[in-house]
Amino acid sequence: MHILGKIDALLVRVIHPVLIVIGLAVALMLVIGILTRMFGAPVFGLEEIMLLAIMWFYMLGAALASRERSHLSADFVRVISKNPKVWRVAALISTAISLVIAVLFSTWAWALFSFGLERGQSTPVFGIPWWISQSSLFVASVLFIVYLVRDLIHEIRGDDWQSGDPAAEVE
Amino acid sequence: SDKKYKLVLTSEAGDRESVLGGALRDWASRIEESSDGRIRVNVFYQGELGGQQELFDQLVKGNVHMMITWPQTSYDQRIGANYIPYLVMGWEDAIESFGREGWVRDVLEPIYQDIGLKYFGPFPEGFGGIATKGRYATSYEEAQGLKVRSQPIFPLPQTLQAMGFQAVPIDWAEVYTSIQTGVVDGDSSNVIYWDYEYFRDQLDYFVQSSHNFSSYSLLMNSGTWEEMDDEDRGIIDSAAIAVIDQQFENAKAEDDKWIAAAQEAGMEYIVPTPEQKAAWVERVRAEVWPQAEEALGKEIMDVVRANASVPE
Amino acid sequence: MGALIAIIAVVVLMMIGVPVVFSFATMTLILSIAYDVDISSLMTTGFWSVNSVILVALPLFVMTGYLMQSGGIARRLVEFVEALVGRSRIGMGTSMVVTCGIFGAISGTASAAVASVGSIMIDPMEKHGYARGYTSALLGISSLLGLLIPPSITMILYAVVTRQSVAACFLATVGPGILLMIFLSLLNRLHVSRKLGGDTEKAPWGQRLSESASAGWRAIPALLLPVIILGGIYGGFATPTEAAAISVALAIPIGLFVYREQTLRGIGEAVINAATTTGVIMIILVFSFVASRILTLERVPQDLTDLLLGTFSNPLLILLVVNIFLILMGMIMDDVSVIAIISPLMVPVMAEIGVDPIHFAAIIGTSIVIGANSPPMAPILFMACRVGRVGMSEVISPAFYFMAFAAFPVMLITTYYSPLALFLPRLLGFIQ
Ligand code: NA
Ligand code: NA
Repeated sequence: MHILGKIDALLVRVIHPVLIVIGLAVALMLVIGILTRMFGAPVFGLEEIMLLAIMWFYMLGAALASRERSHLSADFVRVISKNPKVWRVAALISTAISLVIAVLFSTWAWALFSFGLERGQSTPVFGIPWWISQSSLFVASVLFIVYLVRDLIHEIRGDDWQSGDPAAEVE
Repeated sequence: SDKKYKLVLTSEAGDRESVLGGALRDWASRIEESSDGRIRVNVFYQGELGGQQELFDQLVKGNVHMMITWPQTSYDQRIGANYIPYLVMGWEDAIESFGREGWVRDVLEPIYQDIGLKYFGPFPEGFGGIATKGRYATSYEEAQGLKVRSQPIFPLPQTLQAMGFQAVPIDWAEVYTSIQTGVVDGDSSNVIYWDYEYFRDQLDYFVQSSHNFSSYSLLMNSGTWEEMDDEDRGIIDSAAIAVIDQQFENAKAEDDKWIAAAQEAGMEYIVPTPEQKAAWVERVRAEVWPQAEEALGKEIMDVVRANASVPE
Repeated sequence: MGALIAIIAVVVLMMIGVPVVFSFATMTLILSIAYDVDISSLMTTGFWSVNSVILVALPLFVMTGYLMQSGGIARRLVEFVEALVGRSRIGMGTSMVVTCGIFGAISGTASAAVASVGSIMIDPMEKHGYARGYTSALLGISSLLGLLIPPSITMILYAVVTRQSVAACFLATVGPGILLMIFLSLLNRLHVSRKLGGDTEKAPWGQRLSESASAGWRAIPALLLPVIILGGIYGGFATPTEAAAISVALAIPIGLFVYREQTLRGIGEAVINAATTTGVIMIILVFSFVASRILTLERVPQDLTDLLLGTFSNPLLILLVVNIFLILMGMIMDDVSVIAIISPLMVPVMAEIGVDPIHFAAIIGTSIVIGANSPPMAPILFMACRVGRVGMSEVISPAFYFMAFAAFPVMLITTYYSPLALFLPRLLGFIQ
């Protein structure tokens, strides 16, 4: 687990600044769009760059949510049962199902990415290939798998942790 | 053949009541009739299956089997040949150039084939114009400061800029609000039908700049096409030709009908004088055609230059 | 049939605790098997649907919410409203409701209001005699004003999914939002006088006036934000997405230079939080768009419409069935899922019985107020519990009180009295 922890820390160190740059840059591009339009010289193509970038923002954000176990889920089991054994079984089943689905998702996302790569669809103004943003789905799916494997290991070991638990770190 | 098919036919534009919507139904019912219901065609109207880019992707991938669509340039820039400004100058010229024996078809068909699509022919709609609110422009100078929505398809924005307008890219779903609130002053490159049907309470003027000839394409996924035997291909193809022929017959009358309807609704319909139009043609051809040559290649532009007519 | 199995599967998976995104992916998988479509080639649907300029407003409005919290903007708003209502016992509850409403005019989500208003107000309200469970429940439901008072990411989602104008959808929920504020304030007044032994003394008028003036002065930059955002959208300077960018671009300097509470770290955290919040939504959307595309291709919405129209002859009855259906779906699903899956199914039904899609936006918006606070899938109520540091058992009964006597009546009035939703969109010319 030690090496996984290092990879995780490195990932976060890369993802955080990328997200901050994209998030602020998108806001800035839109403001520039308004100002240039007001002053009579609208810039064409800003929005395709914005869209290419924002997809990475969404997908890396979703991956971070996996890391923090903050994907939306219902706490129904904990409401109807007070038995920690039931919780554990439910958690194991749900993580296992999620993992299987995440693996399938990665194949679907790969199909999307490789199709884009092969056929070279590109944006209308600058002709930037769309696979640049389509690949973000595949990256997200791989990160989902990584963190779900982590979760599964924890749950098999019997650690009790809930969604949004700050202890959800890889040791 | 006794093979059964369930095909999906759609378009990114055209609701149930529009001419395009009617053409979708027409194509579908002709196919179902001549195949005695063996080939079933499910029609989906504007927006029911997603936006332009997605639908074109789905057509190429084969989840959508047939479309009547504004050609998309995302797979191949050369499709932009369909949108070269001031390509044709009048109805007769347009019908000849875009028609079944016309030179535009010779340019487009092989490109579609490369993308993986079977091209049946064009679905002409008419000449595009500039519809605006408050004031209008018939020249480069008058157009200064007028912001109009443009489709983000090369070289349409470039054309509007060359004509003196500010081209603003806005999603079709937000165009009405944007005109209403003043984010843009109007819409561009559409035939009057769309501006009348969707924005008539907002727009005051329609200037028949005719910088583009709006023409959709009847397309089918190549995989689906090749899977079919000759009999079934014949059914699809002759149904398509019937739809196309009828539209060539009706397009001008249809466009005239909407011009009259728009005028009746209080929209002012303005035809630029030959001098005004010539000035726009000159500017646009000087500025945009070299850009088009860069994007589409010399080969295509040589064909264009050889065939494009001189303004009357 | 395939559709039914898929929806049952989603419900079961969510109950076990499978995250929404993987439950939806499973639903998509089942649909693709049942209707024999190639799911990997349908991913393009998910991609292009999410790849939308209009949706970019979402992360930006979420970001603004977090920036308000870390930049001291939220606190100025609370202080101003508290001074206005005179710091009495009833006034504290009213001010929680009203602050959430004003907060909602800047932020697009409920969660930002829960976090900032909750952390500022729950303790002082306890000192005034309110039980924490009650306060948390009031917070949970008031925070939903964030999606009724524009801007609202829920309405942006609805507009994108059903292809309506964002600006028009924004206006549809204003009336219901104000009505909900009134209902909540009255219920709170009733609760205080019947259960807490009545109101305490208000600050004297002179003091109230001077405090309001000075707190109001300090809150001016914060109060200008909604004016600029909504003025930008309805005054023709900006599209909703651009207005969202303006709100980010203003919230940062206000926090940094006017209130001097914002830090670079705070800004970075706000952006990252916005990324995870919207990432969670977008990845759900990817799958729900694919799922609803399969349903449309198989004409399930039409079948559903035919079924409803065939079973019930009276449009009012159909509306009632739709109301109940929305509440049930809201219990087991989160707001994003309800909008993404249910609204495309329902809009054709509505069209058939003559309900304007903009009116339906308001109906679905008010149903989400109930859904987001009804377990098992009650993300907002759970969050209010966390912020209020109370257990679920203590909030359930006050939450039910607010839903039964405020949120539910507001939903019914919105459903059966269409001018409440349609007056503003009509006034501003968005619909005829
Ligand atoms: Na709001
Ligand atoms: Na719920």
